Amino acid sequence: MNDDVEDILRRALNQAAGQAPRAPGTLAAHVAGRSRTRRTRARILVAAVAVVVVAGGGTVALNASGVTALPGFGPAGGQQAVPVDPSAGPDPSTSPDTAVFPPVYTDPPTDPVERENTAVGNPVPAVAGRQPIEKVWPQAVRKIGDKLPDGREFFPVGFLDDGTLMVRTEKSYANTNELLAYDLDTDTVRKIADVPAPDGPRGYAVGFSIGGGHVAWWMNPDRGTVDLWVAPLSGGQARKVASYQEQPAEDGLYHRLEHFSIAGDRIVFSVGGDGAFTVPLGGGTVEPVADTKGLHILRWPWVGRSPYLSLQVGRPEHPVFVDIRNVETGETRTAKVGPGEMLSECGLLICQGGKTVGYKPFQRFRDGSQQKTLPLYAPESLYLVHERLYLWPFKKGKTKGLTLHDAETGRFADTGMRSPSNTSLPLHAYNNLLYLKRNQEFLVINLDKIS
Amino acid sequence: MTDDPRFVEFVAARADALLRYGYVLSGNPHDAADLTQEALIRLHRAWSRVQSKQNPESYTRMIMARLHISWWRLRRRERLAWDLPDETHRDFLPSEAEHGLWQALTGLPRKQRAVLVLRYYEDLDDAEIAEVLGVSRGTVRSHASLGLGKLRSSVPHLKTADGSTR
Repeated sequence: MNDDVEDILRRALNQAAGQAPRAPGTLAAHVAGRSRTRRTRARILVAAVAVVVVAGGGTVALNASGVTALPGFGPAGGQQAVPVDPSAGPDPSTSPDTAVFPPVYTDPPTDPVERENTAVGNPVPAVAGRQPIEKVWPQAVRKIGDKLPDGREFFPVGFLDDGTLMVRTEKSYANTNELLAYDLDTDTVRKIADVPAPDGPRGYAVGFSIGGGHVAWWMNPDRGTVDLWVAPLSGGQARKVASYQEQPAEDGLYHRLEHFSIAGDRIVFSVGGDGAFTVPLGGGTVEPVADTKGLHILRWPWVGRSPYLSLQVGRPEHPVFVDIRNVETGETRTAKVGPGEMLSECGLLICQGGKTVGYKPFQRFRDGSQQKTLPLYAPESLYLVHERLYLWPFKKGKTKGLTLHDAETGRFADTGMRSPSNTSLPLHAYNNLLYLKRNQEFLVINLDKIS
Repeated sequence: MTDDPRFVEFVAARADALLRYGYVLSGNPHDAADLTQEALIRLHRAWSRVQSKQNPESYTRMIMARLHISWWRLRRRERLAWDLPDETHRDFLPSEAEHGLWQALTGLPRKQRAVLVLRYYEDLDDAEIAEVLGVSRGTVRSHASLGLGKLRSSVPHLKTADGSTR
């Protein structure tokens, strides 16, 4: 058994779970209504079957679980009694009451451009009017080939400065073996560090984070154990600076490390349910951050609740980062929620939510200002990539595309990414970087340079 | 059959988690929503029994897994009338490795995928998976092995620990 696939699969499933649609607030009532409708239909069917059987002179056995025609005692004239199980209801595949949620989103008009502009206040320009990202934010966009000078494949990790990109290479799928500094002006590379293979049988290096003149990452060599590694950006030996032993949750499962970054001279990370922790970049003891049990790091030093990062069964749900606290200063921030509104997710500055009735999704600042109605998309269709920057997908015919949206300035830019509507968009976000592969080149976007 | 406020509370508290489970089971938001709703309707009909004897969430998750691999789903897929536009879900993962495997999962037969989801998302052992799906442990092991094998072979550059390409 090869554990690399299993670990990646575990991470992939948990990451993908965050993309699931959300339930409308009216779901319970809707479900109960459908359930009652089925019960009524089942009773009608039971009655109909009984009539058929009696008319045919056959026999039925009635019991608490339903009606079953006894073999050999079917109705005359070739008619067969239909077995009915009221506990399961009629076969839904033949039922006109096709099970769907109540209409949370407005039915999209057929024209793709119109679809994107029907919502009141929709700020998204029509497809034809969107500018390519290279024109909107030329200072932030670079294009490079998709091979290193020596022909190897590589993957961008983050910008070290305006002209230098940190990239990684892989020995095998997902198995990072080297970190390099890529000079965007000269297309040359310099080695930063070799990335050692994990000590144990599981878990390759992940979570590469840049800061304080260093790059840090973590590995999960054994279930419940997290090793933290650091290497200097100037080049040198990577070394393991600390290990963290995860605490199993009440149900025996392990929480997962879900935030990992460098803040000043420390590594900061949070583990679902366990809380936030820090350890010096130079090595030392992993210290829990006071009063963060059950909380998650949004962006250091801000922590809050996030149901997507606490996937245990039976735990109550909370909106994502609506209430946050600065663990260094004690400052708290909440977000304005008006009557009849619910918030689904907040960043440091901006929240998304909707009306509980008629669910009109919106995006606005925490204080409720600058509210924009979201066009036909659920809020979760937007993906926060960098504080105020969102990926905003659109669809034109059978093709999907992505725009990058600056919520502060209201600007949109077309990333140029296109994909058939039934496939995924190969776009990735790390650190201060967003990148996508187009043809034989990478388009790398420095999110710090967007203003 | 009841309008027990505890049912309403259960749906309010757990529907999103069930949707996430449905999403990793099925791989698309439409089936995730449909699976969740169908399972909740069945839960509602069995509420008094389930609530007194079983964990409602375990019951609902079992229904979702079984529905997903059943012939009923195969027939029903063609009859879905779902209003969610495609744009409502962000279908990329930030890391290439995870993204590649998530995509490769779409090529697996439903039973194989269900076994992998129960093992790697729900963290169930093979005996528990066998119980949830109503199959033997041998069948679970077989599906898991076949599923993992297909994932390895369908993702480019996926190699064994010694570096040889599978």
